[in-house]
Amino acid sequence: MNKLGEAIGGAFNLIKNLIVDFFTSGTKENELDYNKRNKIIFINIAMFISIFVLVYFSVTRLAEKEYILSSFELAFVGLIIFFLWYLRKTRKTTVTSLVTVSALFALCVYLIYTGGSYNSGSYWIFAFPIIAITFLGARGGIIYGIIMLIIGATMMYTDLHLETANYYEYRTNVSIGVYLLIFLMAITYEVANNYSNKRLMAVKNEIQSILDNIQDGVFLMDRNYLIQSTSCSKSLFDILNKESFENYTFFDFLKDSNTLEKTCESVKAHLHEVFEGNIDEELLEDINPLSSIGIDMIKNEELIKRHLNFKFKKINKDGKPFLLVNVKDITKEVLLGEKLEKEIEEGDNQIKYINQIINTEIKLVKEFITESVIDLDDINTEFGNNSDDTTKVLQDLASMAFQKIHNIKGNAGILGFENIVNKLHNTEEIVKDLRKKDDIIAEDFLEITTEIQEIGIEINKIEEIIKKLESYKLDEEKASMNDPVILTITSCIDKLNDSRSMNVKLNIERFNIHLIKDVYRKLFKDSLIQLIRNSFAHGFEEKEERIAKGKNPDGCIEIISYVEDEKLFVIYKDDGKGLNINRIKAKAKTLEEYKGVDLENMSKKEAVKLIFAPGFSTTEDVDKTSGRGMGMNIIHDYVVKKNKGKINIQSEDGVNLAFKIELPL
Amino acid sequence: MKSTTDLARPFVDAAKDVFNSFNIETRTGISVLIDKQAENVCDLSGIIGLSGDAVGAVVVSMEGEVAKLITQKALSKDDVSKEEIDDAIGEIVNMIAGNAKEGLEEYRIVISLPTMVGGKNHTISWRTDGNKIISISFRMEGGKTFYLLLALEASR
Repeated sequence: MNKLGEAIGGAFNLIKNLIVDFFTSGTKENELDYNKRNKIIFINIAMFISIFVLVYFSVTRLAEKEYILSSFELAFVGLIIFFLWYLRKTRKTTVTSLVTVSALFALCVYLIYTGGSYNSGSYWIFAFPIIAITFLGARGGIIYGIIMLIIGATMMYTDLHLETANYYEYRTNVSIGVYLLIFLMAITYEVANNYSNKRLMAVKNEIQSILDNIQDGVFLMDRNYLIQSTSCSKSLFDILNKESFENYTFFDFLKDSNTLEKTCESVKAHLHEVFEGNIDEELLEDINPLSSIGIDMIKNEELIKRHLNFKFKKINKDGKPFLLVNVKDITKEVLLGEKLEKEIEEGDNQIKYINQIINTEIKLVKEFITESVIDLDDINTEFGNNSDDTTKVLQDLASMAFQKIHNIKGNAGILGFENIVNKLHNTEEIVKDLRKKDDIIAEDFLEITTEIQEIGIEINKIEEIIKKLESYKLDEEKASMNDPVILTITSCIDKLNDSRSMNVKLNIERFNIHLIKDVYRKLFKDSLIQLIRNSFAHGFEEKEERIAKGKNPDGCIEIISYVEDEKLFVIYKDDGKGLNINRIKAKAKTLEEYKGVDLENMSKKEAVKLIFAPGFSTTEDVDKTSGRGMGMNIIHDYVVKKNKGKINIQSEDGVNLAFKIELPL
Repeated sequence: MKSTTDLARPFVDAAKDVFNSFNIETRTGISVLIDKQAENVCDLSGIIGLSGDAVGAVVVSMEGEVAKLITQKALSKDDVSKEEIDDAIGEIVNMIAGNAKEGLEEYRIVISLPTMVGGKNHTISWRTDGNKIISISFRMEGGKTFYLLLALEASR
């Protein structure tokens, strides 16, 4: 029974399709403009009816033995069939319309001429204006209608017809009147229809241009989730990466996009609620499972991932509920958000590590890394070397791993690497359980291996940070060499070396210029230059003398800075011959200020201080070209009096001389 | 975000199931980490790439004779050609990745087509973070061994 039903249904469908195909000349719904398709259907119907009528006429004529007329009508049938084919082939409605109307025109004239059966032939002309106007439009229809009127009236009022056709005047008047009435009504209808069509078209064009240009994907879907392809926006095709939505449901799309079954189910439940409309719209939007969904699609044979945002709104169309769906491609926003989140997380992690590293002696961290890497490698090697998988051996292996991991955890804890401690703690728990497990098998070690891999990655991160920190330090050292104070000092030494053919070296390895506050910079720059000059003038011996003394033939100046007890210390050292107390005393004797002072018996400590006395300048001994020094007394005033600092001199006669300047931070 | 540990387990389980389904008895060994740059000691590798929520690669590596043995078992015939071996190993790694994917159902994972690489001491460019990958040995009856290599990383 079922098979029979199916066969009948199939046959019925086939016939239906054939009829539709015939009357539409094989055109599809969306293929042609709505109006044009209607016209094609209309022409087909008219031609179809004409064929029937003409065949009927032709047969009647044949029975009346009017062979010429009969064959004339048959020829007409042939012509119409030709144009049916022509319309199907070319879909040119203008030519076929004209042919159809002309054929009807000829038929009407012929009927008026012959009078038709029982003189009723002339009634056929009433149909003419309607058909002419529908087929040819207002303009062509009016012209043809008027011609028909003139010719028809002339033929009926005069003798221009067969004698058998009997048109008495009253009947002709009525006929013409009815014709005019139908004609006028057809014109009025056509004009009004044209006008409203134009308005409709304008609105339709506007909507179409919105749908063509809007960036969001917009479409309607019915209760069966079928996407209505006739009213969707152009960008929808691109956003959903489809070429056609015919017979395509929203869930087909979700399935094609590799969406999880679970998600599809919750979407179904959600859309059901939207259709029902029982829940507040805003609330529904809040729980929309598709407000951001990742989907996969194949584009140009490549798998791409897209993030889409769907919004649903229930609307009523022709009394049926539909969902108006708005879809946006939010891939860029989502990816940016994810990237940001990941970077923030990684950044937080890095900052934690950096914080721990700079709060710890870097050497200790390095040691921790080296030891941990060795420990982890050891575990791995032991795992790899093992070929025996008896319970005892495996338990021992787990115990070994436990000890090493515990050890690393302890060290990480001391250094404060919480992140690693947490990870190691997890691993430890896994291993702890394992070493007690009676039915332990080799496969159980997978978790340990993967955990060790992750710990390795974390330790790598710390290693990378240390590398970076160390490279910054190098950069900082390089930057220090370009500091103006250091540049001045080095160029001052270079110049003095040149002018005196000496090769004094400068050692500033332990001098950190950044420790010196901006307000002290000038003081130090000038002071150091003064001290360098003094070293060249009084300190360094001739090369031969230095060699004889067993010193390095090239002199050396070292500058050191450090901070201690909230104080800045700068030490200036040269390996010259040191302070000669006797020479200082001799110099003092020549000065007014020391007349009457018992210089002979002055202690060494006191005598050294003499170099800071005003007027005790040694500039006369220094190159005339380099008279920029402050003078030792000015250094002393500046350091001691103005900045509450101290200057300490240490000198070993014949070996070296050092100034230690102390300033509050 | 899942850890590598959670990701790795389904692949090992899947491998066991797949070989079991071919009546190949295996004993899973202790998993170890190997250097990414290390040359592969086996001369045949079937590779499948993963993308989506988990990225990386799944590789089954073995000696030629082991591959032949497995193919013989899988096809239940003694005479197997080179093409048949490549097809069989490719299909096996495909099945492993496919089964594992089902075990990770809350993950959207896309697996590539299997690729076969041959030749002694070939290297594989692994695209994951870190400098190690996981290697799990599978010992068959008679002591022949093949390896499941995993480079996995959750990307969300």
